[in-house]
Amino acid sequence: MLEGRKVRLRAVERVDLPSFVKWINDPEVTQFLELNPPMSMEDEEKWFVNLQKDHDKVFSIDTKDGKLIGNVGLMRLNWKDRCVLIGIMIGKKEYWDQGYGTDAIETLLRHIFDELGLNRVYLIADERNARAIHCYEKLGFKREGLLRQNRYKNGVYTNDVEMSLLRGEWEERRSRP
Amino acid sequence: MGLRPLESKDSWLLHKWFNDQRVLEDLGAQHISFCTSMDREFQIVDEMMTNRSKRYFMIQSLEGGRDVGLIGLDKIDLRNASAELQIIIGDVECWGKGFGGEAICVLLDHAFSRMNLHRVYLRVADYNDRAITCYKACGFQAEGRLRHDHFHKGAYRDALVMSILKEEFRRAFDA
Repeated sequence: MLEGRKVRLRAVERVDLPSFVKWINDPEVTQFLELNPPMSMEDEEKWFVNLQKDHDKVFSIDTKDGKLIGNVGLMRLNWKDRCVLIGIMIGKKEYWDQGYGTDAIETLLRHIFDELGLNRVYLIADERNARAIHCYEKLGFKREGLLRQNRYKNGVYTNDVEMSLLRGEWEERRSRP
Repeated sequence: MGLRPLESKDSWLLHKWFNDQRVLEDLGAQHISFCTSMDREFQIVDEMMTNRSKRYFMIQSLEGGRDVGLIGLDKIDLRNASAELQIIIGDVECWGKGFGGEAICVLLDHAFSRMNLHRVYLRVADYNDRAITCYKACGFQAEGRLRHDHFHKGAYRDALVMSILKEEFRRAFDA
């Protein structure tokens, strides 16, 4: 369990899967995410079983009073180059815009830099997803590139922004009062 | 306290302990994420019960039969008569009450007198003073330092290897 200020991150359990399926199939939740609904419960169970073997590591996000509100994951973990791709979904919409996602990512970053000893964390956001990009910028992520027409969704190609945070930047931010 | 063989139903308790950061804090960063799902815990316990190079026990308080921790021998090498000791006291309320030291003595007696091992060794994070004090009291000697063994709290940390031989245990036990 990784403790944050507002949330805690824990392993994904089988009982979480129905919530994940519900969120993934909610167009408002996945509007800007790299997920391809519709997804069935069976699809999700296959994903869960593979999770145990994969290099990807996904955590469920609980509020401090134990409500499941989303998940956050490490992907393409590369030990040689010491970098990792992260992604997040806050599925419970009533928890949007209150800092839960920010705290979940900050908790994950602490784990990535202080425990796993990685050097670079990067992520990809839909250019139109202003709320997410604002959150990443608050955490110190810098825009490093525009992936032109990187995704095809709802009939149009859309641009993605790639952002990253380096170990040095993380340490500098933390040493500030 | 006493030791009893591990059973699959213990997975529930181990799941709780192995997701408790207080318990994992000093173990020397062997976990990638501090988080283990119930499904994974069942697999791990199954492996602990079936793999013949492992022998694990639950540490049980004799007052009330409460399970307080897990202890075992891992990497059992019968050819060379040696094995690695692993232990956690998962029930944090039972820290500092001597359960660990007593469990280690019982396990060492089992290792040397029943399994006929010659050497039992362990690895411990060098900042885990409480554990090192306990191992020394049980007769373990520090035999080497693994420099920058693991990454924890933003830096590389050392670990110690400690061991005890059959005759050393016998000498201490008889005294």
